Amino acid sequence: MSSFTGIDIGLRALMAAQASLAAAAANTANASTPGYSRIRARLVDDAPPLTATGANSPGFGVRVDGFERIRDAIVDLQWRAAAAEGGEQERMAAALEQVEAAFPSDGINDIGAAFRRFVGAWNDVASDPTSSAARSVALEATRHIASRLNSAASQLNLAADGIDAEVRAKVDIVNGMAREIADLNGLISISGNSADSGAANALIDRRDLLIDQIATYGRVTVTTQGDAGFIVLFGGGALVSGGATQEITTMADPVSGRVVPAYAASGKLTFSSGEFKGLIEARDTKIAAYRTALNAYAGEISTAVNAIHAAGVDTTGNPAGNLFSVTVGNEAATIAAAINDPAFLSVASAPSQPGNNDTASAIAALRTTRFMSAGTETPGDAFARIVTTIGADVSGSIIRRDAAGLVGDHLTARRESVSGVNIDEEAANTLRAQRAYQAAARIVSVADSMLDVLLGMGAR
Amino acid sequence: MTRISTAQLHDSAVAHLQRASVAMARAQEQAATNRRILRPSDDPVAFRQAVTLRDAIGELEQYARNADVADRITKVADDALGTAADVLIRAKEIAIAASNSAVGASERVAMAQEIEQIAKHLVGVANTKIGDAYLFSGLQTLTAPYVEPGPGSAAVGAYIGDAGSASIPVGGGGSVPISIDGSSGFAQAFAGLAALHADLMANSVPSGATFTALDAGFNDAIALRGQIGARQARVDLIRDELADATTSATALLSTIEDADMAETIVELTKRERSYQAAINVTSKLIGRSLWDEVR
Repeated sequence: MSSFTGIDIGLRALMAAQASLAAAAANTANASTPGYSRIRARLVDDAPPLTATGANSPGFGVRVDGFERIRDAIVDLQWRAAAAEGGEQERMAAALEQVEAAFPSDGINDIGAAFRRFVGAWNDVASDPTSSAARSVALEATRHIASRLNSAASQLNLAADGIDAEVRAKVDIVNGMAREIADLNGLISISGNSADSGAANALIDRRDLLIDQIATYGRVTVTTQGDAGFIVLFGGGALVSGGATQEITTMADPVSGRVVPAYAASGKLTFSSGEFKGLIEARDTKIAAYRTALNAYAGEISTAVNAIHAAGVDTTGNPAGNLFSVTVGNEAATIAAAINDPAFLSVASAPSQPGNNDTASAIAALRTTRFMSAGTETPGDAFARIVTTIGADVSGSIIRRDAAGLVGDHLTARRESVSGVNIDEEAANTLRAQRAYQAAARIVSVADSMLDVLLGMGAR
Repeated sequence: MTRISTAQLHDSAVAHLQRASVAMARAQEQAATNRRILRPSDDPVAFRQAVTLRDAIGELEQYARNADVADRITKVADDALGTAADVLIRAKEIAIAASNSAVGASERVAMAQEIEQIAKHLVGVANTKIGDAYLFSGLQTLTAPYVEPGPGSAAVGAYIGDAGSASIPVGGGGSVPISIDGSSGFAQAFAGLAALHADLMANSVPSGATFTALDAGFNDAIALRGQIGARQARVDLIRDELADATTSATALLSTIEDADMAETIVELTKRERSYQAAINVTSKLIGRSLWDEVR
């Protein structure tokens, strides 16, 4: 044991206190930095070698063994799985809410009301078959229901187009983040891939934050493989392998024809959860189903009305032809009145009977006829079914979104409970480091005064 | 012990505030619109009931409109046939007066002239129009059913309407006719007037056959009026039923769609309170730390 041991140990204690203070300062400074994991100075007892009878010296005091990043890898995995689920439900709910808002169902301006107006106008023709005014109103109501269907179809298309644009934008975002992760991989391996290094801690925090963000778009799996290093698997392929990325492109989905993310090598990305899944499912399953239902609605009405209308005669006594024109397969978007002059509307079942209202009555009677969906629904039932389906889908997706949000909140709390900074705690740590520093300084000063005594003996 | 990070404390306080303000906005929306269901997702089952009820109300309103049309037609027809009966009574009075052998030839000519006027008047009645449509010509609504006799004649031409019939639905599977075959009410009357006119112009006492024809004409007009009166009674009944059904369907729709005002206001007040509470708690929580106490 040397005479300087006391000063030596004191000095190391001073350095340890400074390291703890530095950790508390860094934590406090980053208290609201997203993705920051709190750090702790790792202090170890710098003990002497043990002999058979135990230590024969007090050792060298304390040693600062780097800075530890406090993080729970299991919670990270759970958090990312929940983020993917949350992202999926959130985008699904948002897309469906937008459809619900754009698809009128207020009972005044909706398709159901337009159909009521249509049959109402034809009923008024039936109750005054010679009135040209009633025929004009019926033609206008015919155009009105057609235009309501056109506009509903175009709202559904707009919603799907909006999702296409969102998918493209999100592909760009994920590619950007993938490139940043690849760059970080290089930097982290240069800085020794050591979690203890202060510089590496910041880089690893940044990389984890990027992976968290990618996780909301789709399930990610992170592995480390030999020379390839840090690998991020996303959508059924390696998005990042060490310092290299695999660019995500977009392609037309073979079924829906709409935009989906793809790898050049392996084609369409596959997702078990995440924003891409939510968006694509909303567009290709839900909105596509609404479009199919709307097309069936428009198609069945036009077929039934046309059959009645074409069987009758117009005011000139000629066969009247179809009332609606549609393009099969795209009925709701293309339905239009096929007649431009009210005189060519079919009111009567036979020529030269201006008081005959058979055709108009039969069209008006469609209101209560179960001719839709294989003879099970009236037009009112069919419209109610379409709107209720959208409503039930929206309310279901909101419930799932909120549930996923609660799970996410819970996991965020757990993660924050491990890695997050508590300013009060850091204040206490700072005070403790300050006290430790004062005590260590005191040791140095006491050891110094002891040396003074020793040196004073020779001077006398 | 669970650690709580400062950022988490902050975030969850903000999230609570957010939830409280969303709930408050929703309560405000309900109070402002006075509607419980603003979009299908609010309550898909109730929304569906509402859509179905709106269709039912639309249907009832349409039947009510049809009943109004039927009402107008029966009232106009009733008036017309009432007038027809009145002028036919006058014709019979003339026939009875002419039966007196003391009546001279010049008086009979004057009587014949009055019969000509009565025939013209009755043609006018039979040609009654509602809007553009002739009421008594069956389905030939653009054609006057009878043509006025020429000067010095009471011989009205044959009925040129038809016997076809059109009707409109008034609910419950029932319908009411909107066309009338005028020949059933007027043909005999015109025949009777023509016979009487011929007798008078021949300066003879009206024959038994003439009286029989006049009586048959009057009876036909009254019989048609009776039919139409029965139709009117049915229409009145239907209109009452439709009004009742519409009222109860509208009330039912309101209980499904509309918010209970008292409940809405209580809810809104509650939401405002909890929002206020969230603000108070958050302001106490945020910005406080141990540093405030350490000097």
